[in-house]
Amino acid sequence: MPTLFRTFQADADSRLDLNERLRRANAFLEGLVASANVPIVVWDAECVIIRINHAFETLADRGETELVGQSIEMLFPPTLAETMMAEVRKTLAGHGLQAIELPIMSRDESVHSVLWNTATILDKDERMPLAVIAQLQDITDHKRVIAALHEGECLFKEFQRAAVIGSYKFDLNTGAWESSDMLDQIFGIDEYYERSIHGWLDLVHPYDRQAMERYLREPAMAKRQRLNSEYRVIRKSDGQLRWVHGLGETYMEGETAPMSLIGAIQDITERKRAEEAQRESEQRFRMLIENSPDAHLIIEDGIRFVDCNRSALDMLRLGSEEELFGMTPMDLSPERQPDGRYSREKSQDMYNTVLAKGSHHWEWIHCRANGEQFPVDVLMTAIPIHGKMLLHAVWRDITERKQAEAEIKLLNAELEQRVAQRTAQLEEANKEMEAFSYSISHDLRAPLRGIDGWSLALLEDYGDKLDEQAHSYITRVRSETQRMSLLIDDLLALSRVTRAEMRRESVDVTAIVQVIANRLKEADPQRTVEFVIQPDMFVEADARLLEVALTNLVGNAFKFTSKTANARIECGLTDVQDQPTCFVRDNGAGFDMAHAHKLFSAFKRMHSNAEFQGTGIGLATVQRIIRRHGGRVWAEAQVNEGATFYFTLGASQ
Amino acid sequence: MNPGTILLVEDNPSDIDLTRRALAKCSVAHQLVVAEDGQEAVDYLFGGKHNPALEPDQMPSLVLLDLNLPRTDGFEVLRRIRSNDITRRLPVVVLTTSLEKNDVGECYDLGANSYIRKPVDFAQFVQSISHVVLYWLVLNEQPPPKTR
Repeated sequence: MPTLFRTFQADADSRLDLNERLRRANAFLEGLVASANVPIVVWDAECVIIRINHAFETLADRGETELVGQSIEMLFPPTLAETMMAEVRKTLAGHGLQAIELPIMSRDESVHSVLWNTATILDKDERMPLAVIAQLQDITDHKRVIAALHEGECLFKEFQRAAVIGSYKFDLNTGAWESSDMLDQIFGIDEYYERSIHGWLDLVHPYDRQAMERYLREPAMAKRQRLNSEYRVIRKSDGQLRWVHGLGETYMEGETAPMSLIGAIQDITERKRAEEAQRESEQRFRMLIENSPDAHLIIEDGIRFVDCNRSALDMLRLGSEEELFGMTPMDLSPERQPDGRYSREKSQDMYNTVLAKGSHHWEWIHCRANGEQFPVDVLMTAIPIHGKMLLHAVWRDITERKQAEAEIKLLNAELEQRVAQRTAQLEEANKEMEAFSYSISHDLRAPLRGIDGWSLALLEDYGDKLDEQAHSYITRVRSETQRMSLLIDDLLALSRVTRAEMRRESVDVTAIVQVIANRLKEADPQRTVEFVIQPDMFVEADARLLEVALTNLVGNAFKFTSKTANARIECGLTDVQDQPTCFVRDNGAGFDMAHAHKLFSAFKRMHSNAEFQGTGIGLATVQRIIRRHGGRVWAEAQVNEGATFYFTLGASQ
Repeated sequence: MNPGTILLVEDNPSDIDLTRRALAKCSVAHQLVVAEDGQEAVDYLFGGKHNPALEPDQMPSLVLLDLNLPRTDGFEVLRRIRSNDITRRLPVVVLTTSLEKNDVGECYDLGANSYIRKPVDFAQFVQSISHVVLYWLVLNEQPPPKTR
């Protein structure tokens, strides 16, 4: 029995008068209520507040004068007041509130969660309630903490789900473990899964199982260090391999006995796969570069080699990367480049260009470890990584290419020299030819004039002493001289055709042929020849040469129709195999096509001099003119039926 | 009065004689002076080892000049004649076998007065010579002689 009550009992036992005893009891209760740390409120049968203590004033944030004499209803939030009052009335009916939560609204309208405990005071017959005494407990803060805790737990779960992190707690003494929902998802297990050491090990991939088992079975004390490892598990639900990252911390009971292992497990399969893909990709690139026949080098700060492939070492005749890493590009360059510039200075220009353009390409002379110099084709690219500027250099040994180039250069020079020689020879030959023509023109003709002149002098001075026969011989001498003169003229014309410079222009063929026809008719006025000349014939040709060719062709036609009655000479343009083609047609003597192949050779004739005079050079000249135009000349003929000569004038027509 | 001279620059003896014969046929009173090559012609006009230069009033009335000559050729002779003040106005007729366009052009460029091709036919040759003589010595007004 509590001491206080005993004291009260003792008082009751004393012989003090009843009043005194009542006063004491009352004072005792008053003191108790007033000083109690818990809020106390008393209301009467009408639910009017008749007594509060200080603690209640604090809770309600109102003074005694405001509360006492008022209905208890004022304590509740207006919206809940009716329900609350129903509860309060129950207390008057004898149903006490036992830790029932009814909210109270304080002056500032803030609502407090409050637990109510009541005792009902009945009249002396213990039938009618006189008053109800209520003791309150403000649980607002407590509830807030609970709510916060709940919220934290939800957050934690959300966090686990989002990060794919599950948590576990391992009882190191029994081997039993608990797991979070997320961990169950990671492991693909349900609530019925056997959560024992065996069950745990069964989840771990066989490759990692041994290590895990060793860890779990080793003495508990050894586990004091933090667990941190990546391992594989087989997801139970679908048998998939998942990578997880496990963290664990042992919790001790006291200083010595480990009690539990608590930790988190994160599914890192995606990360692992990405890492794997990255590694594979890197390996692929590494292989590419490693197997490249070109040297690949990485240069840091423009001076230091920090990486290279096998080809680079081979190219430089270096044994190991370490040898290279101790060098700068300048150690591998001669003092000067072929253009005479200092390597150091020129390379700085190159680097600057690389940095400005991002990438640059040039040729360089490098040195191998044995000092041998060799030409390389450098492709350098600037690669900014982590705030550093790396230079990626690809060197291609172009020794062979350079040799080939040099050879080509040499060959070209030789060729050019040979061409120059040939040209000089040709020029020389042309000059000789010219000199030859010149001397023919002068020196062959002069004796002819002598022969003719002195033959004539003979006739003039001694004619009376010569008989008729002698006269005829001298006439023969003179006519042969004339023939020789013609021959020389024609040969000169032929050689001139070869040497003449060609200049294509639009040529009026009609006009040229007309002039030739007129000249022929004037030279031989006795003859009647019908000329049919197509009007407005224009071709692209060298006018002077074309005139020579046409003079020959039309002249031939005129000559070979000299024994034909109704002589007719036709000149026109036609298409032969889609090529514009000129033709000169006559109805004269013609010739046997069996000899057509000799037609255009110099000195070849189809007719005897007795039949028709000629030197046999005219058609050779025609062919040479047509060939110089890139064209073609040919003839169709029949004996005594006339001949037609065709010619084209080459591409530009 | 001295009928004057014709200077024939020609190296072919046959042509020299034929020209002489042709000139004779035209009954020309002028004396024919023959230089058998270019150098001889130049020496004759401007003086050489064996003779002094011609006096201005002794200059030939006409020069018949062949082109294809040994040593100094006809072009050079023409150039010398035209580059000298005294001989600048001399009528020079190129009488040659060449019909090369270049030759013809160059002769005119150098200041030839005429360019005649020697025909092979002697009758035609005589005709040509008589035309030339008639024109240059009879029809044409002689340039006045230059004084030194």
